[in-house]
Amino acid sequence: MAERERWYRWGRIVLYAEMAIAVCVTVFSLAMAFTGNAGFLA
Amino acid sequence: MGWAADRFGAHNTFAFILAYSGLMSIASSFAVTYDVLFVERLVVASAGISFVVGIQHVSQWFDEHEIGTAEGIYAGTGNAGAGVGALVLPRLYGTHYSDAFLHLGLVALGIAALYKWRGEPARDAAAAATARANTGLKSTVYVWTRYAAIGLMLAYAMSFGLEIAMNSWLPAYYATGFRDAIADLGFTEVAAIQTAAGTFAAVQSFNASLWRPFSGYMSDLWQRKEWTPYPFLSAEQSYAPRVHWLMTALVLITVMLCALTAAGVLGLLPVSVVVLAGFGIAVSFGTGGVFAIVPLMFEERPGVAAGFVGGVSTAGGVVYPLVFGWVPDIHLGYATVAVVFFVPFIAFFVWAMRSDRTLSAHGIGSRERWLGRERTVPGGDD
Repeated sequence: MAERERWYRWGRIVLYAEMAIAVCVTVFSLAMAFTGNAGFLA
Repeated sequence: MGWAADRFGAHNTFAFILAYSGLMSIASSFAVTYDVLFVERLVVASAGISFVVGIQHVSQWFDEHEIGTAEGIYAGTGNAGAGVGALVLPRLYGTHYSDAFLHLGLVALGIAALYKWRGEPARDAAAAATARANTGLKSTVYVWTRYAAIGLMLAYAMSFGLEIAMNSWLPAYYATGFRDAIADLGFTEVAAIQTAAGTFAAVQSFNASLWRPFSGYMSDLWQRKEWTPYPFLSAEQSYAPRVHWLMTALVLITVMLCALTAAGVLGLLPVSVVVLAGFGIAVSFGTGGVFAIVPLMFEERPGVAAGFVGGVSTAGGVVYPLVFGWVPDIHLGYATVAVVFFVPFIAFFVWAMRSDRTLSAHGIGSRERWLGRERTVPGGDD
């Protein structure tokens, strides 16, 4: 198996962080919308 | 622009795009008529062509086994910038948009200077020379006539083409198709309905951008594990596991599109929005999956190939909304696009990718037909 470069570890951290942000913002925004308080993400 | 990146180097091409769009952004901050402002902002908007330049540049710098993650982080995080700008700039500048234009233009000029000063076209001189040597017209036509390249272009039309189509379509869809359900949530004024509909629609673009790096990572993972689960696709090519991952994404996109129609027909707003979030993730799997393959399939012509796949496929952004609006029942547009466009696209993709014939032999005209018998550069796209 080819050896990974040093950046790859940080790259994975970034992509997991981006997924977590996507999930959190989506849940928060939809919760606001379904309780009549939309406007955060739009 | 992909051709220009191969020919002149991505750092020069990107610096040029940033410089002219930055200058035009500064000019637009001093516009005194709407017509002038419109034209100047139109020129600034053309900076979107820089996407393929970055794809080419990343492909020239990163190793084969990490290319999916690298391209995904570049493209996914970069696209999220549009959403971040939409969220942050109004809060930072309020109605003083001309100040925002001025400051962003200055930042663009600064980055252009830095890119030009510090940028290198590739990790080694040989890779840059190879790309530069393959920018002739026949070389370009050779890429355009490979069935695998056309299959990838259709796959990108199914993912990114659909993503930009949905960006423009979804706010109107939720405001119209779920007007009563949105009113039941307490949004009765026109502006409030638009805000709620925009919130639901933004779920798609947000997830489609931020999950894209994960798709590239998954492509790398499938390649590392050598997963080729589909017996109807070839497992012979060196990048075959990546093609199998992309196939998974294309099926998911089609299924999610039909699920959107089902949720709409049943009038289930919460279900529709949850499906939309899953749809955004499926789209990101497609966009990330395509550009984990393109640089490996066309190692000698990464810019030309990225330009073909990434450019032509954006036509979907115009075509799909026309179909959505043409279908009498607003909820049936998604299933119509899935059946009329995506099923044939997937069929072509499978046909193009199931062949064990080499890239050079599987296309309209042979490699010799377009490039001649004598090889002028080392290596090859096979």
